[in-house]
Amino acid sequence: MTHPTTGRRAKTSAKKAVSEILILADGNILAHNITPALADVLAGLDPADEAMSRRATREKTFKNALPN
Amino acid sequence: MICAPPEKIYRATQNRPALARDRARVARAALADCRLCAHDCGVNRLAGETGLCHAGAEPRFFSAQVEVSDELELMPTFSVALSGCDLRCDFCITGKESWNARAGLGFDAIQMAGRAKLAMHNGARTIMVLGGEPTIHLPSALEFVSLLPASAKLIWKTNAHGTAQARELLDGMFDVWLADFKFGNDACAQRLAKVSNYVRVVQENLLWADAHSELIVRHLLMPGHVDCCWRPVAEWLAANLPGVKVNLRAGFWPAWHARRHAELKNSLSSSENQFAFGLANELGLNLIP
Repeated sequence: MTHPTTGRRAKTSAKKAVSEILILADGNILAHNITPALADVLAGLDPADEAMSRRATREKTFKNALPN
Repeated sequence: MICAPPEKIYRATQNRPALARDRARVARAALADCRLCAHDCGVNRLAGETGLCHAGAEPRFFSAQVEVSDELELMPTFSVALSGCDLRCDFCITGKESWNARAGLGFDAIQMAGRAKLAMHNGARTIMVLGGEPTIHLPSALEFVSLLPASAKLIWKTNAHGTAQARELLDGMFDVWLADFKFGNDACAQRLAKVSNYVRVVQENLLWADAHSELIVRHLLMPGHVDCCWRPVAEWLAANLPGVKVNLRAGFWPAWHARRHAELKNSLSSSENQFAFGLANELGLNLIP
C-alpha cells in the first residue's frame, strides 16, 4: 500500500493482514480494508459511532485464529 | 395486515463446484482471444500477449484477509484481492496493486481455498473475490470457486465492466454481485478512469446481475462529482432497478493519482454528503449500510 499523501510505500505482504487509516484535519478518520482487530480499535476511539460499533460487534463473533 | 413484497432469493447452483471446474477450463481457453472485459482486446494471454489490463494468464493477489469494512450483511468476509484491473481510476485506493497485475504473490487456488475454508470455520459469513478487477482473472477465480463448498456464500466484487462472455461463465457461480457504478457519464469515466462507453457497459452488467443473482450496487461519492456522477447514477437506479440495494459510500480519500485532478484533492464536503444522501432518499433508493 502507498501512503496517500506521502507516496511512501509501507512494508506490506499479501501474507499479512493490512488496513489503512487516514486522519483528516477535522478529526474525522477514514479507514479501508478494516480487519476485525482494527474495527475494535476504531469503535473504542468513538463509542458513539454506531456503524463502527456494529462492525466491532460482528468482530466478536469471529475467532481471531487465522494463520496468515 | 400489510405484507412486504417477497425478497428475491438467489442461491448459487448446488453443483457449483463441478460446474465451476468446467467453466474454469472454458474461461482459460478464452484467454487465447481475451474478450473478458469490455475493452475487447482480443489478445492471446496464453501466449504471453497482454491487453490494456497488462495481466498475464496466471493471477497474483495482494491481499487475502478477513475484513469487516464491507456491507454489514456480508461481513465478516474473507476477501481475496487479485492484482491488476482493466480500469485506470486515478483515485483508486489500491492503485499500486490494481494498476499492476504483477504486484503481490502468485495465486494458488488450492492454498487460497484452504484459507477461505478455515476463515469460514472461524466465523466468516462470506467469501469475496475482488481486485483490482477479478473479471480479468476469471479462469483462476472459477478454479477457486470449484474448491469451495457449494453452501458457501460467495461475493463477486466487480467494476461491472465485463462482457456477455464473462457473464455467461459467471452465471450461477456467485450468490451476490457487489458492483460499482462509479461514473454517471462517459466524459468523467474517460477522464478519471480512461475507459470509453462506460455507462452503457455498466448498466448492461447491472441489469444482468440483478436478473441472475442478488445485486448490491456501490457508488463512491467523489468531491465535485455529486451532480455529474451521483445524480445520474441515482436516477437510473431508481428508474431501472427500483428496490435494488445501494451502498452509498462517503469516505472518499485522495489516494493514488487523485491529485492529478483539482476536484479530487480533498475528501467529500459535508454539504455534498448531505445533498447526496438527500437525493437518494428523495428518489426512494434502498440504501444499506
